[in-house]
Amino acid sequence: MIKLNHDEHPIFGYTVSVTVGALLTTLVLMLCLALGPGLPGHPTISVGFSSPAIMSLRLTRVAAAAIVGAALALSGVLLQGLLRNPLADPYVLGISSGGAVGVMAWIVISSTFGAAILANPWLAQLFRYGQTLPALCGSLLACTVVYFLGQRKGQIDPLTLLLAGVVLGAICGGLIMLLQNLVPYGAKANLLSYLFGYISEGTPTLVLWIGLVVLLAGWAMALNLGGALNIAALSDVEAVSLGVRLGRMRMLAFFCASFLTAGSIALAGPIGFVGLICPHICRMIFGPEHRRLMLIAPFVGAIFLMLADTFVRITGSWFGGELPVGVVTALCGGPFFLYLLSRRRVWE
Amino acid sequence: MRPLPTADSLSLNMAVEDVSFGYGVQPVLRQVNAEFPSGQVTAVLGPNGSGKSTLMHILLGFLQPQAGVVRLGGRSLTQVPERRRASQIAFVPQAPTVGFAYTVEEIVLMGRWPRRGADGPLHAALGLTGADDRAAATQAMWDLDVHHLAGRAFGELSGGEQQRVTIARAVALDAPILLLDEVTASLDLWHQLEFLACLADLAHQRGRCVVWITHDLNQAHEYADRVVLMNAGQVVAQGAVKSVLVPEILEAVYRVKVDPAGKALRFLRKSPA
Repeated sequence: MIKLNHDEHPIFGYTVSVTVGALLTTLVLMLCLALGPGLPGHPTISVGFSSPAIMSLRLTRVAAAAIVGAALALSGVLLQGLLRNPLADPYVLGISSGGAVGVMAWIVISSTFGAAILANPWLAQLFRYGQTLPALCGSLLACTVVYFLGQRKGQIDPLTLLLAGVVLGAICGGLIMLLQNLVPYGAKANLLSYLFGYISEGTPTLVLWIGLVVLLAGWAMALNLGGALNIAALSDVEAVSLGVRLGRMRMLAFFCASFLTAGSIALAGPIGFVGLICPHICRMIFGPEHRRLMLIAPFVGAIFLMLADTFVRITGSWFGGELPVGVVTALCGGPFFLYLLSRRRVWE
Repeated sequence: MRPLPTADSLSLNMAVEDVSFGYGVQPVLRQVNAEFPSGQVTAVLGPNGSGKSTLMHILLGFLQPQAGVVRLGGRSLTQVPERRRASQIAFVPQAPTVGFAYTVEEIVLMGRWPRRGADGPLHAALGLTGADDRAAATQAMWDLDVHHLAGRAFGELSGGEQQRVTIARAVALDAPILLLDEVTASLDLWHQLEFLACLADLAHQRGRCVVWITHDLNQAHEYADRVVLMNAGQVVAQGAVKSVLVPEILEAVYRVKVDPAGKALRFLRKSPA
């Protein structure tokens, strides 16, 4: 394990981690900006900075990928710590299914009342954000339901929370199938593209800024909870004996993770694997200490998703259309993760 | 294990007054009154299911009594803020559990969590331990003979080693009150005797209040100053060891017969060379 001198001089170690992480992320961001697809029909890649209009579109997309990747990785660290379960990922609590129901409901409403909505300037304005708002509403609704169902004796209980999330996910699956029967055939493709996750050039700048603010706020809050999450890896009795207010800590960690996940679902749909493997990779390399993980994992998530999305963007002409980025995260991240798994010494 | 440095005399006592508790409708503790004075080792004895561990969970504030009061140095425990309570009461569980692959050093440092943030505002915001905490953790690892395991993952250790690491975590806090739930069960003989001597030292030399749940009556007889004997959720007898651990009481509580001519093997620490 790499310790980066965290134990002797924690603040110095953290500063080094953040500086190295930020530098690497910036480098990868520049690289991703410079890469673009070749001419249609030619399996080539163009390298270099082109016209400002194209660069602006690229920047939007790469920045969205970085924000979503960082948010998912951070949410994964929080949820794995909260649930004391290294198999947890940001979607384990049914949040993505809630988002999908929101999008599905939006498709049903827009395909039924489309003309009436566009006639109203207010509603038409909301429509400009496409699936962002319905996905956000659906995810947040799912979080709220899971939060209230996941309590025992007035406090969040990790096992009850997990069960509530899994069951809610199943219920949402049923709802999606039900709503699907109400949609005209042509609109179904919208849902499919949402379910695979897609990072768009068309994300409004305001939405990106909001995403960045949510990410930074969540990051600060997560770091503040990190020490308590370490102690909560012990039994409940031991954690309470050491003065951790478990109920409060779990509530904050849950909401922090939920907002980060809901935000990333709203921006890009449920992109799989980033939130599961980035925390794992960091834990294997840097150990399980949560504050250290929280500082490093978001950079790893941002870099991973920027690279995956750039791959999708520049290889569009090879596959006769862009692949969903979730396909790449699973196909690249999965085998790499299995390789790390086969090399690890201690099963946690 | 090295002898503990004799320095401060942090002393604080605990007591429970008319404490009752139950899980659901099943009563576990019924109007329990007990005292745990500072400067003494109080052994809590009793058959399985007599409510010893529940009483300990109430003492450390994990469970709230349904009736009665827990007193920490004369104050009601409910009026003591969490962090203050945590820095005054150290606890060692029966079976330590750790969710991720933390190293021994990280686990022992967790014991200093109630005293976190002493090195400045950034340390406080991140809940970081400082130089004093690392020194205390290192000392505790030496005391419990686990310093050579500092970099190992907790999950890789044997049961006895894990137990010693958990005891080191409690010792590192240097709290006036030490609660121990059947901690000697998985220790080998040498470590048991060393640990019990260390326990007696903490109470007698440094004025700590030690509460020790055990099933080993012989060890309780040898190392404890006071005994609280429980049965079916009630305190049957409490007081000086010699007045409580007598055949009549033990035969009634444990449903056994004491052999008056019984000869048990008796072990002593080797005197240091």
